Amino acid sequence: MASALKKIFLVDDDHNNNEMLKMHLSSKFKLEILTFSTGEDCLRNIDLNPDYIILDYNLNSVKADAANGIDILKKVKELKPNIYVLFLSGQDKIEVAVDTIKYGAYDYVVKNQSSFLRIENCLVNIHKNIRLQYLAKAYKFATFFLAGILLAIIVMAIVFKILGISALNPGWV
Amino acid sequence: MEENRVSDLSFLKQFSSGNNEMMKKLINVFFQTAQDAMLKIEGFIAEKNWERVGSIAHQLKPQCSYMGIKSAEPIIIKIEDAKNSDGSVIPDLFLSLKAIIEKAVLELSEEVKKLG
Repeated sequence: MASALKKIFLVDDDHNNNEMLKMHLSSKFKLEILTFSTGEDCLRNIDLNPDYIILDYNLNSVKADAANGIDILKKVKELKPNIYVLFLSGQDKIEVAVDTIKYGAYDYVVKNQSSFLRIENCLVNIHKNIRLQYLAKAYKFATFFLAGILLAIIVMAIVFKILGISALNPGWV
Repeated sequence: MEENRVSDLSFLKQFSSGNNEMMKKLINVFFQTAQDAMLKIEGFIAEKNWERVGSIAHQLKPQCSYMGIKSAEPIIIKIEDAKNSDGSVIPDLFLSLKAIIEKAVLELSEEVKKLG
């Protein structure tokens, strides 16, 4: 399935995992993919305004003092709350997953053979949600607009009646 | 598939859509990753730095999954759990993991030769 997406950051201290995910996403979507090995590198580039970030939890195998994914998530949400953040991690403890959702992650996917497909499905669902939000806003705007026109018509009708003006009155022409 | 094989390339074949060059590349990356990880873990075991042992072992988990090395995962999980409690079991766990990884590397090397 090909769908137009924008910019995505892949943040993982495992270079091979980043590359495999990049290969998979490139084959499914049209988007600009940037990879980072630490959350700090990701944050340094946050003003590139990615639409999505796929973030690992443990990020300290390359730099031992690198911040973990939840700390990076908090910072991302503070700086750019509209970015959708997905976690893709080998960490399978439920408490970690719950914490990521609590701090604003859209979803948490455990790394295994099906994780690439699940990330793909998450991105498709996010895209659908964004479209639905736009449609909801458009629908709301259209409703208010039509209600406004109807109200204006009613007000005008009342005003004309008060003023004794009638379209059926020959004197009107 | 032989009964006592430790690796399984089903996932990799599906992921690479039959692209032999991609498969060879991913397997070779696994060789490098596994070799680096084993060396680092041995070093950290000598220092009794269980935290770093667990951290490096954790990184091997998804790679082993992609290569179909299912028997490695429970050992890696035990190493990760032990890093925060009884680190003394880690050396033996590592020896078991090392044996599995070495067998997997032999099997995968044969597969790479078959891919041409």
